[in-house]
Amino acid sequence: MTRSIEDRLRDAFSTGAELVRPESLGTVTDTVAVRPRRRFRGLPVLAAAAVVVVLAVVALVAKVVVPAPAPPPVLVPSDGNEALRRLAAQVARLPDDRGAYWRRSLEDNQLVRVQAGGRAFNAVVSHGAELWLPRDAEDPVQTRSEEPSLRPATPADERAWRAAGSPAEVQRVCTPGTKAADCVKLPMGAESRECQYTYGVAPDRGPAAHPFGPYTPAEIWALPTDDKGLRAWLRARWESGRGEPGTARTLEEALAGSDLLLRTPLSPAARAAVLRLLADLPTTSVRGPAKDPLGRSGLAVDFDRGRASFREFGEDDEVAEEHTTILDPSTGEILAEVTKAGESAAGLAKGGIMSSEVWTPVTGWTDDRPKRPGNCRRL
Amino acid sequence: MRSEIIHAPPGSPGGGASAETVVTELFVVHGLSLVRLAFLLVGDQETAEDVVQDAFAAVYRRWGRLTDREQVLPYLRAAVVNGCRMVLRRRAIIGRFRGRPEVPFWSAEAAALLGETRRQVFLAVRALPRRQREVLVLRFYLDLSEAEIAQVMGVSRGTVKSTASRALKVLAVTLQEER
Repeated sequence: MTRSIEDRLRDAFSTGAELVRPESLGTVTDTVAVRPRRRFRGLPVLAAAAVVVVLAVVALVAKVVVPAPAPPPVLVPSDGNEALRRLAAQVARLPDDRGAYWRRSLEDNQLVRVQAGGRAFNAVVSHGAELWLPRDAEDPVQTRSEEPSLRPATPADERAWRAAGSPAEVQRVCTPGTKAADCVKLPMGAESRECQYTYGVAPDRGPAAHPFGPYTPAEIWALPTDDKGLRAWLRARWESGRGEPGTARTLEEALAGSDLLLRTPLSPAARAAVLRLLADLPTTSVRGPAKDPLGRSGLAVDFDRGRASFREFGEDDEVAEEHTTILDPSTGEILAEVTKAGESAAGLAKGGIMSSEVWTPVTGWTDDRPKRPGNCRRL
Repeated sequence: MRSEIIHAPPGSPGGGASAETVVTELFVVHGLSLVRLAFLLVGDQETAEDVVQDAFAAVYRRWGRLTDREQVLPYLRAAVVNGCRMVLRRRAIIGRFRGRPEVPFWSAEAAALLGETRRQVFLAVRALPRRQREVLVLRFYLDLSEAEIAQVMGVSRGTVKSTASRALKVLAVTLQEER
């Protein structure tokens, strides 16, 4: 009779574990005193029996990170998301000043593990992108984006790269089993960053066509500013798209996804309404004051609470992530979105920044008009 | 099949019991199962015992700061899992310096002791990513619940669930079982 996988695992594990015989363990008092480790214990056959349930791979790690045991449960702060509600109240009182254009300038950084000269170290892939969105739909929309560039992440990483001869190309460190075609070499330390741009009125394709994902600029500027109206608007949108790919499965998920609206040029009243709605959701958790990667002070919020996500880093195919949005404490606008490691991995400490999207200080409404970039390729 | 009872030590450690007494009791009750847990993750008993000794020493040092004594066992398990991760990373470095491409994972003696069928299971589990291996051992050796596994590994229950599901799907193909 075929046994289930689960039964076979239980059987293999329990039988394998029983290779450790009770009588072979040290005496109890040995464990309490903090003393040098015991040397070889156990029967000779057990020392030879390397029953290993591990992934044994070549790991060119530059440093070993010491992970900490999972901390005991932390009490939720007694004021919950009150800080977010207070911010919403403040934002609601701001004047609705708009200029000719809304300019959004983003700088993306992502940490990657690379190797050269037999050493592994970290590097950062950087990529800049800019949007000029006109208030008047008859004015042109302009986008500009830079080719990604790679540089060592820290001074220590820079030293490792130089010790390897400062090669123009480094090898990405990939999860074992990654196809060779996907585990590529990356150009390092390039001085110039190539760029491309688009320019045109009411574009219906390309990077300028859907700058706010599922929301059109017209929808953003007409968003309800009262709580009931906003919920009804979100519900109606969800119901009309139900069952289609990309639409949330439940209304709760759709409401939780409304944090995407914060990335758009909402009026202060609309932004306040969105912040109030998000503050009431169980998927929102205020982390408290924080600084963004540019050192600006803001309010850190997790809009993804309860949802597990992880990504590859180096050889580790699953490193838990923590997402944080840092909001301007005066305007409620986004300063940065930061993803930190939820656990340690080779070359990455728990809490280390894995990626960030910084909204640079030039972002906002302006009466300036976009100038076509002279040294960029037009798409 | 579990051969140990995994429960919190009988009675909460009261104000009168010394750290040494309580930690000793903990070892009596849970030491073997923790060494076996480490053994399944790192592959040799000597290293497994070192990892567990470090975990108990850490509990002993922190005894005064542990406010919830019922969290001691999950703390111990988490310390063992984390200790095993460190061992494996260190081992990979040593392997590189000695020019060996892989750490030997199996021995003739073990295969003879456990049988070829079980060896196939270990080989298949060995090929899985680290997180999947850990979830499988915690689930099918210690019989922990999703919530308990999440606490030990420091991840969410959703991650435990999806990780276990992925691992079992891969094993079903590798071991050619019908689910």
